[in-house]
Amino acid sequence: MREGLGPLLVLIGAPGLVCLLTLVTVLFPRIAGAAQRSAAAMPGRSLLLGVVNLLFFTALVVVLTAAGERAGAGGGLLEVLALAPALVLASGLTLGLAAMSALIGDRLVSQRGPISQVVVGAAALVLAGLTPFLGWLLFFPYIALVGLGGVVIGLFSRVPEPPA
Amino acid sequence: MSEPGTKHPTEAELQAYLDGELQAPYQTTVAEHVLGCLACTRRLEQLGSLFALIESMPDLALGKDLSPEVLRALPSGLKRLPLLAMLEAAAAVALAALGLPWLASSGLGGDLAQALQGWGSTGLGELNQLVAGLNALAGGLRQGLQGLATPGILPSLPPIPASQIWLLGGSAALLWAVGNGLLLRRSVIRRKERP
Repeated sequence: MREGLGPLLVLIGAPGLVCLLTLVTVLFPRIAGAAQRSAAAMPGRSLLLGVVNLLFFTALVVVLTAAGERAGAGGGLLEVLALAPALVLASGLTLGLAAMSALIGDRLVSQRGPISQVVVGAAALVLAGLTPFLGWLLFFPYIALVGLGGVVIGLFSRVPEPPA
Repeated sequence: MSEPGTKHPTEAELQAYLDGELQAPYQTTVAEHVLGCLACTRRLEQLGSLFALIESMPDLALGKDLSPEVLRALPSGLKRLPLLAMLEAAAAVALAALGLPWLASSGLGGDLAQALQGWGSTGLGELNQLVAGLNALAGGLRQGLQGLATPGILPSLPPIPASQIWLLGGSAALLWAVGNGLLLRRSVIRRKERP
């Protein structure tokens, strides 16, 4: 039963992730665009910001969950509160991956339309992320962290849009 | 020569006349006036030579691309979240959340619970019901997460001492504030954006 779970997750999850990233880019074009420009202009800074925010929100989830478990019967509120930073982190990572998909697509097939670019970029990102070890441990986490940092810069700073 | 008292076209009207941008009847009127007015003919000639001179000048490239600064000065469509307010809100929420278990473990929590029970018939009773509902929801979530953790997808969380929870929370908040503060300094961002 468990042996068949991995391929099934990939078969369902990979196209699902491509669709999710495309829809996020379509639904939130401004923030995805701002994150894309930030990640393209400042990849190192975006990576550091991604690491800092990932550590903070993960620690916040652990702290709230652990505090809830210690509090016993009255800690349910804390455990529900722990969902908030987890959701913020998941949203940031999804937006960041969508922005990175657009960036990769723009560089791979610059002559195509924006939607095609995101689809191609997301497909390339997901397939590269499936590469054993290199994709799992290096490429995908790197892209996700740069994207997350790009989202933070896009939210808190002003990155100018390129001239039309 | 135009008659005394005839209204001369303004500089802007003469420029528009040269560019052919006047309305059809007024274009004819200005043309007829210029034919009979020596002063306006001279002004028109001067304007014509000035425009010819400007057009003959070569385009000079700027030493610096001004477009990023101009774009930065324009109002952005994306609403920016104030960093300081976010920091304050995060700190307040974290403090409140971390203070709850302390409140529960201290005698003050029991006194407060008794006081709340005393007011049970009022809206605070509904608050108690809400907290009980949240507890039930958290129980369900915990069971679901434990179900996910069973096949090894999620690691189970070992019990952490209260002092380490405080230390972890404080360190994470400090790292977040200092890291974001340093990396999001406006001057640094602007310097990096310059080509």
